[in-house]
Amino acid sequence: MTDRAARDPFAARRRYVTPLLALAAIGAAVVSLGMGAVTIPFGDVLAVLGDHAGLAVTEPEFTADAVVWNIRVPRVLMGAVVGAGLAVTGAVLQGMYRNPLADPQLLAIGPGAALGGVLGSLAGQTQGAIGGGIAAGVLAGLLMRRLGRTASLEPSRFILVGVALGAAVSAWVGFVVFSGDATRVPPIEFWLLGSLSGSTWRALGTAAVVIAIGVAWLLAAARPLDLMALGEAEARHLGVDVELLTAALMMAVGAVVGASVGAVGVIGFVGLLVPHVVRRLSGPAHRPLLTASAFGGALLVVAADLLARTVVSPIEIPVGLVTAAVGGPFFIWLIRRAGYA
Amino acid sequence: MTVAAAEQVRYEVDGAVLVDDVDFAVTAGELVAVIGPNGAGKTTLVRLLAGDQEPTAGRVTIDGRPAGGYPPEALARRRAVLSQQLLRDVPFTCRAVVAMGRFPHRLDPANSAAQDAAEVAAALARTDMAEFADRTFATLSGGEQTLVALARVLAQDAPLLLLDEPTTALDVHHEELVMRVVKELAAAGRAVVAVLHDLNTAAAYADRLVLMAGGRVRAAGTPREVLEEALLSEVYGQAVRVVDHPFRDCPLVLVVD
Repeated sequence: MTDRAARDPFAARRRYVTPLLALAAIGAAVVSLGMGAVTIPFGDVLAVLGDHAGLAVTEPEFTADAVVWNIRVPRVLMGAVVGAGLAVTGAVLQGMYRNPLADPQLLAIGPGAALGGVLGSLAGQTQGAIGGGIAAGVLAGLLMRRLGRTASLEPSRFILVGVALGAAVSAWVGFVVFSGDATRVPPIEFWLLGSLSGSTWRALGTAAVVIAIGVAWLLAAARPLDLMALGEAEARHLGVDVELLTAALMMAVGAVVGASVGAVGVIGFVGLLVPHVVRRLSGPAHRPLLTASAFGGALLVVAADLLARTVVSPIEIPVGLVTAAVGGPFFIWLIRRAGYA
Repeated sequence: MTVAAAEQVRYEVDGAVLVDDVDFAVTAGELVAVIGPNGAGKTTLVRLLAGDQEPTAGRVTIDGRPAGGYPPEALARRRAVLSQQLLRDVPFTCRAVVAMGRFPHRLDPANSAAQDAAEVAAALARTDMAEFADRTFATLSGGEQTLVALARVLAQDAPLLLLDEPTTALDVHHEELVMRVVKELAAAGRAVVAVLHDLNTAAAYADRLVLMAGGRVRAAGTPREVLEEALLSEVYGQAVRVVDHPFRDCPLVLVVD
């Protein structure tokens, strides 16, 4: 099998792509901890982290501790967790539908989760928003699965249906926001463009558990997902229960997207950008693709959030603006390359 | 021993009867070729036998049980299917595509990664595709893709093989190669059903022929029994003559101008 490694074009690259992306994500996270409205020197960041890890060398300064540990660490970890979830779900949708344009936001799962999140926030603030996001995300995922079965599967059409549905659902998010109690419901730009600024340890805990379980679930389905590349008919011939697989995948995708949207709102294009870049390095097999995409997604959202809060500092812009600024042109490039233009 | 059978099978969709009153059986160790003009219902018969579709009336069985009654993985261990229409833009390497044929065996305790790799390598070698193992499937020609798909079917290691036009788009060398491989598999005890367009390929390799027309079986038997001038001329709407093959022990069908 040694000669196989030498000849498989992706075998060599696969070995370093995940560790490299993981390192880059950690690097971006550490840089992010020091930067923002208040700049905290690198040494102080390390002192805070060391203190909470129980290996304090020097007692950290009080404000540094408050800013880094209570605000920035949960925020950066939230970005990493949400980014990982969005990138993995994008890769799964692209594989499941054999559609390079598939993405949880473009297929209306994100906007659907936002509607559930805004309704949930009326009932129970952040935890309610996450719960509502998960429920609505799963529902939206299963609805899109049904539409995908009945509608012609012509890829660009399916995406158009998703975009149109997403726009309509986003309008409902707006209705609820503007008719709701502004002290309890996050503003419209939070839902439609995303923000990591309110991330608390508690919200992080809930979102991280759901996203970790969902991603593990999706990773477990990596091999049958590979077979979907041959088309549904062939996957069936090879023993894949296509109905069961797609339903199970959509439920996990819906839960992951729902938890992230409930926690931080809709951050677009992560699920589109990351898997396409990662696929060039890892190859098409879903196990390495999903693993590397998780780290790639974490890197992208952490970096985008860093930009969002430093580019016009001290004012923060929604993180979704940053990902859209990169993702929009990338989407057009993808469409042109796929020959749908 | 009958591996797969259709009894009094009828299949209709949107009021169109694609297959009607079909009795068909294939036993272990034989190669049955399904022949007939376009639209005769050959592909529909294969899909019914594969369990892809439920018959409107009648019964399709594999190993004595209804084909539609098996869980997907159990069915995939019993029958492998080579479809006529393959998706061309598969981004995986040929080796990875062939390895997908091992999917239904992944939970078998007697199976191992080493065995998977050996089966995949053997299947690629058998279809003359070993040198393409690390090429991306999407970059292959139509004929090469058919051969890799056949290798995937071989790697699936099922006792029943359903091949819908396995030789279409192949050059003479590969057509003969595929038919020899298929014949060997039958000789080794598998039940093979192949839809073939070339009557002379069917005559040379098949143990039995089933001639279909208009969704029904018009004739079934040995090549000499089925390849009969008047019947073929009528069914295909094309005058033919049938002579003895000059050096193979089978009939030879010649088109008459």
